[in-house]
Amino acid sequence: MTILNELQGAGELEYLFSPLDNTRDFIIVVLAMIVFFIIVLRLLNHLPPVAKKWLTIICTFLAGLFFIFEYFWPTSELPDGSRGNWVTPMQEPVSNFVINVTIWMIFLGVISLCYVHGKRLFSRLPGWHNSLAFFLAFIGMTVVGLVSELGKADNGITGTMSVIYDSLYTGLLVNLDSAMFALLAFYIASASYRAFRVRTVEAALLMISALVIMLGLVSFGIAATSFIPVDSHFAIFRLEQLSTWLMQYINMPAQRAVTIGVMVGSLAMAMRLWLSLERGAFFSQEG
Amino acid sequence: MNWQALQNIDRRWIYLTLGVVFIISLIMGKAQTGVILPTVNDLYLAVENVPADRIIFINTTFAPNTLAESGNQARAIIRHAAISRHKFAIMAVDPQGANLGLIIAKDVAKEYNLKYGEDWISFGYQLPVMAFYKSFNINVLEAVKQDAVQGKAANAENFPMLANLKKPGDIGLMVEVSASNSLFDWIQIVQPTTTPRLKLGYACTGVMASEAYPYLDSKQLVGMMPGLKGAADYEQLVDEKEKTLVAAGVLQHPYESDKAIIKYIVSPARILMFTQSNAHVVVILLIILGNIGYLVTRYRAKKKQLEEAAG
Repeated sequence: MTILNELQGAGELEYLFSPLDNTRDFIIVVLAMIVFFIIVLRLLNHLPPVAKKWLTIICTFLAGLFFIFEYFWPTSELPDGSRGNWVTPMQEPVSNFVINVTIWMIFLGVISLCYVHGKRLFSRLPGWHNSLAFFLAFIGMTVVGLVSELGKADNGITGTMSVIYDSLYTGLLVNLDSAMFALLAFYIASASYRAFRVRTVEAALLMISALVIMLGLVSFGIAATSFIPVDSHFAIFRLEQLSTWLMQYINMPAQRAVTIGVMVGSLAMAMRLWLSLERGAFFSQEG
Repeated sequence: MNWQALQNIDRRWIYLTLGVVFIISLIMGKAQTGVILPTVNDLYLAVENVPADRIIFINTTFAPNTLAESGNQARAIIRHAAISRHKFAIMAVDPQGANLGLIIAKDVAKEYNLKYGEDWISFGYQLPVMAFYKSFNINVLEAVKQDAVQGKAANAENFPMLANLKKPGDIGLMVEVSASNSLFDWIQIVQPTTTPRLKLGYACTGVMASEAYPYLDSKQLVGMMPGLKGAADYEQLVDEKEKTLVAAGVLQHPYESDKAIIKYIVSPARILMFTQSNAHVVVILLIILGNIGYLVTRYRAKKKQLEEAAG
């Protein structure tokens, strides 16, 4: 804690995590990163499986510890007048660090996709034409998107690219995505026709609830019970009110119970992950 | 009559019927005027009650696949903020949502002559990681870093509308227009740190509404716009307010959705609701038909069984 205070006092932490504003610093950081990755990767390659396992466990534990301290450590007034603990000033740098790491994960995802599809395409494995479509779409959207975004001009090549990007994005992707999702309507209609049968009392209850909620949302259903005055004692039997009642008094307690159960499970799962008790693919492979 | 057949209608007939109903309804669509859901009314009132010096955050966390619902919800809430002269910020934890939200906001801003940076701003895409929300708790502007249109640092010098914004508690209202579970991050990580509690509104897809009711009951949500029905109700409220403003001469003309630059959400939610209502009626009729077939078949089978048993 004392070291951290000294570092903060000297502005070292701020310097370490500040955006770079000159080329020299940028080059130094890039070189340092390359050297760091070479050392780490070589070290990881030469480490025995047990050491790799423990390295992963320690890194996971330390990373989780930061958030545990941040959340549970008692707070006091900070120099800027806000409340927090000794970890609070590190929130911003850690946030930037996590965001950068996540961006690298996207990069890894792209490499993985290119590797899988490239292998299929060049080996002419079954479905290679899908991989070709992936490369065409991926490269096309990347090039057009970058050129149109970098220029920000309305004429020349950038303007043309902007029009192409707009056509590809709003003209193609948006509509394809919406169309794919819209297909669900057809499947849901067919599935509900087959699933909602009054075979048992529970099934009957489920079906009646579903019908009431559906009818309560559409004008046809609302009109069907509109003859019941809104201010009468029987107003609850108006379909829209019955639908709201079902959601608020039948659905809500059930949802609350489910949520509590899920959260308790999530907590247990988080603890297992943090303490590396969960044996995933990595540990099962590494032994 | 072959009652068994009613239980096993070929799915292609179901698809065809539904397709025909969709096409006819979309062509003949007319704006529906329905009974406003109480949760929608609560959200509307929450927007109305935002103090003039506070910003409304509208998070457009959705992709094109839910544009009919989420796009219309976002547009309705942005229109409301615009006609109420509330300053608003667009943000998303979905990269596509950030783009779509910006397109919708630009369209509404053009319609109501709003100035970027003075009346509204976009913070674009934010990575939905724990660290972002934690950072947001400490300083909103440092967490979002810059605006998404001009690429300038998000601070009061560049954008005077941000002068009163530092902590999440300074936000007048945050409305999460979402097709994912992004709301729960705001409820679990950001809302507990704010005093008074950050007001959260929710605009979700229809199927997600049921899981948000416990948060409405506990007042962690001030209101909710569920699915297309919610968007249609909200649109109706905004249209009514707009009509009075036009009549009073405050606005020159009502919002013209058919001139919108967002071609794929040209139809307002109230017109799309007509299509959805008809589709629901078809589904209900199919369920009733299937059950009639099932009950009659079962009754006949039982009757036959009794007759056989009797001799």
